[in-house]
Order: sequence, then C-alpha cells, then structure tokens
Amino acid sequence: MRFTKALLAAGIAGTLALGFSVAAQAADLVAVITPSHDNPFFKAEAEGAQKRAQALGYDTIVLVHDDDANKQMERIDTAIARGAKAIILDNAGADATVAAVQKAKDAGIPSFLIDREINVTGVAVSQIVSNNYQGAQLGAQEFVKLMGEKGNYAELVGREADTNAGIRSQGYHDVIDDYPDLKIVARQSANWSQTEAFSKMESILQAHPDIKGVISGNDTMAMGAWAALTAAGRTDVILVGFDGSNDVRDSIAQGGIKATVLQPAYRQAELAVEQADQYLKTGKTGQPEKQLMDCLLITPQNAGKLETFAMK
Amino acid sequence: MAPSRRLVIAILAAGLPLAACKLVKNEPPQAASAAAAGSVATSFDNPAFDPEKTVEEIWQPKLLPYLRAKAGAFSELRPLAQTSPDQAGQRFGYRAVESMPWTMATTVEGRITGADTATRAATIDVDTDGDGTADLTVQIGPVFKGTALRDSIDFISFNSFANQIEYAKFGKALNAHIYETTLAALPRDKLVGRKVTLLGVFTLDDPKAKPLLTPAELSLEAAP
Repeated sequence: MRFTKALLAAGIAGTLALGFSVAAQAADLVAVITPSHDNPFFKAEAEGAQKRAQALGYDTIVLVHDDDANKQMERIDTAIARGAKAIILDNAGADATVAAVQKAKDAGIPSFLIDREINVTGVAVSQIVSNNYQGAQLGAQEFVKLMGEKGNYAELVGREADTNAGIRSQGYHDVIDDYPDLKIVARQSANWSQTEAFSKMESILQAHPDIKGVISGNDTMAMGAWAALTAAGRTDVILVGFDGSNDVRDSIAQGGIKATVLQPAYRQAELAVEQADQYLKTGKTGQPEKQLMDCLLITPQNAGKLETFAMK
Repeated sequence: MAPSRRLVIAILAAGLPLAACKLVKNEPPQAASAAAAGSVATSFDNPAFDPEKTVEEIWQPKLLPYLRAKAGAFSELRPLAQTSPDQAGQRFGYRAVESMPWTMATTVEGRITGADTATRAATIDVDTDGDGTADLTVQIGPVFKGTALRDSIDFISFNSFANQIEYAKFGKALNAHIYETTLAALPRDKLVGRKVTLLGVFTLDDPKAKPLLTPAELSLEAAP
C-alpha cells in the first residue's frame, strides 16, 4: 500500500505542478512494460511514458521483462491484477507477445505498443513502431557515402531472436548490396552487448586487417567496436551505429564514430500514453493501429542537438 | 499454416552458421531464400509475399491516375509548401499519421542543369523557373533514397501489411518499377541541357530544403 500511496502522491504532485485540477479519488493506473533499463534507450522510453502519464493524471507502474516472453507474461498478469486501465508495452518478440497482449485484452485492458511491432493486428489498440527499416536505410546510405561506395566492411548484428536485429540488418543490406564494390568480410552477432562487440571486433580485425568500415546494429555494440578499433590504432575505420545514444553522440562530436540513427524513443512513448488517454476517454485513438515513426540520421552536423533520444 | 512455416524458416536460419551466409545480388525474391540472399531470416519472413505483383497491378490503373489528380504544379506548390506546409500538404499531399511528414505530389517542367551519374544513387538537378539554378533534384536510380512513392499512397497503408519488412519491400518495389520501366533507359551521359517533364513525389520534412523527387512518370524532350 505504501508503494501505491507514494505513487499517488507523486501523481498528484505532478498534476498540481502542471496546474491541472485533481480528482479526489485514486487516479487510474497505467502500466509501462519495457526491456531492461540497462540499455539507456529503454530507460528513456519508460521515463517518457511515465512522465506523460503522470502529467495526464494517471498513476504509473513501471516494469521490465528483460526480453523474456515468460517474464513478459508475468508482468502482464501483474498489470491485470493491479487493475491497470492501460498497458504501454515495448514487447519481447513479434510472435511470442501476441498471447500476452490478447490476455490483457480479454481482461478488458487495452495495450499500446511502442518501438517493436507484433505480427497481428486487432489485438493491440495502437502499435507505434520505430521505422527501423527506414532508419537502417538512412544509416546504410551514410555508410555507403562515407565508404566512397567501395571497400571491405564488417557488420555487427544484434541478438538474433530480436526482430529489430533482423529488420535493421535487412535495411542495411537492401542499401549496401546495391553497391557491388562494397564487400562484406565478416558478419557476426554481438547480442547488443558492448563487451561482446569489443571482443568480436578484435577478432575481426585480426582476420581482416584490410577492413575499411563497420556497420553496427545498435549503439552499445558500436561503442564496444570503437573501443577495440581505438585500442588497435585503427581509428581510420568508418563506424556507423543505430539508436542515437548520448555516448555515441559524444563520440561523433569528437570525430570518432561517424554517424548513428536516432529513434525518437522518448516522443514515441509520450505519444502512446496520449493515445491511451484518448482511448480511455472516448473509446478510440483517432489513429490507425499501426503507425510508423521515422528515424533521423545523426552526423557531426546535428549531433549537438541530440539529448536522451530526442532532438532539442 | 503460416505460423508453422515461419517457425520452420526461423529454425533453419538459426541452425545455419553465420559464416555460411553469402551475398547474392538482384535475384527475384521468389527464387532467393532469405539465407541464400545473405539477409537475416526473421520471424517476419513470408515467401508468399509478392510486392512486385502488387505494384504491377496498381501502377497503371490506380497509382498514376491518383497521383495525377493529387499533384500540384511545382511553381504553385513550392511557394505554398515553404510558407504553409500543412496547407500545401492538405491540397497536394498525403500523410498516413500526423507524426509523419507530408508526402507531396507535383508536376514539373524544366531544364536539366546538372546530372550526378557517377553514383548508383544517381540524380539530376532541374531548373523550373528559367533562372539557371536548380530548384529541385530528381532521383533516377538504380538506387533510390526513401519510400516517397509508397508514402504518397492513400489507398494502401501500413495496416495492409503484416509488418514493416513487407511494407518496406513494397516501397522498394515501387522504386524499382519506375527505374525498370522508365529511368534505366535514360541516356545518362546526355542529360544536361535537356528539357524534362515529370510527375513526382517528395517528402516535405524540411520546407526550406531543395526537394528530392522520386518520379512516377518522366519524359525528356527529343535531343536537339
């Protein structure tokens, strides 16, 4: 109870601060469920959702599923048991998630998906999806330009079970493979992990010292690869990441990593909460279920405007 | 049966060592399995999906009449888009959701002032007002940036596709269609100075920036 009361107080304080009137009864609860906050991307989207929900007068409960479908089902059960009115979810798999979202729906709780999509429509109310494919194409186009349309390169892929790892890789290749003089010499998964990317990059460098560029499925792996390239004195290697983290922003500003692609994680989470609010009040969101949000290329020209997955 | 087929593909792909991936270019999707094409097999793979067929079916009967009806003359559209992008978008454009930029449809007549054909993402610059400086850039492929053709369409939406991979492939198939039917035959070393007429689309993300058009129709005046 103490937890609920503290949350309620926070919610009231939040609404008071913003000048809204406060209802006397307990506020409705919004559950925010994402992968682990170890990755700053997911932390940012959880915060974006939580703050927007509180500003709109909701209580919030923030949970993580660690990309584990079973854990995700437990978190959905928790949301149902706590009487949540809506669920904001960055899901744990395009197929495995369908049952969890259906379960919430059967319990009368609408789900609003962010970042990742699922393979069915009509179960979630909204799927506000990062256009990972478009973002990957932006990153790949910049990579191709920086490479001068030729040379040997390596690709670091994310966790193979994660749909976005596949979407990004496909987006990269749909651009890069149009250039016959760009030759892939190594393609390895580093599971989104910085430390794993460091050791993978070290071994790729040993096997292929003639490498000219590396394209990475996300920014944490790009940071690991950059550390390995720096340690080997190979800061001439062209490296492009994906996500738009502050770490990579700083590297770009210092002339290290060449580019990344920003997913508007913060705004996307806010938008999901706004649509949940609209849906709870009127029974519809006014938007189609599946909505793509475009990504933005980050280069030295605009890196200074990037802060916590949003442009200032 | 679709889910079980997807599962089988995912399992097969997971079992293939990464080193076995090899790149095979420009094979039709029906012939190339995901593994053979060097792309990553995902739970999204659907061999039955045939975007080229969809594009073939809609291009002449639906897409071109739709764009011709929507398009504004560039000389009228461009100033309006710079001062009142939303107004211009409502008249000459389309966007599926409010969080996306408008995709504009326009008709252009002008003279080619420059051609960048050393890159596979080839473009031409076009002067529309006769002052000798380019007012817009037109993509002539074979590599195209973006999916403006796809994003201009109000009669097929993201909701019609299982996922963003299929939606993206549809966008790429539209770009490939204009390249194969029209742009591939352009005399790439004899473009500068020629008069050009086209129907095209562009994303209005920065109203101040010089538009980057993807053509739906394009013709050159006969060489002098």
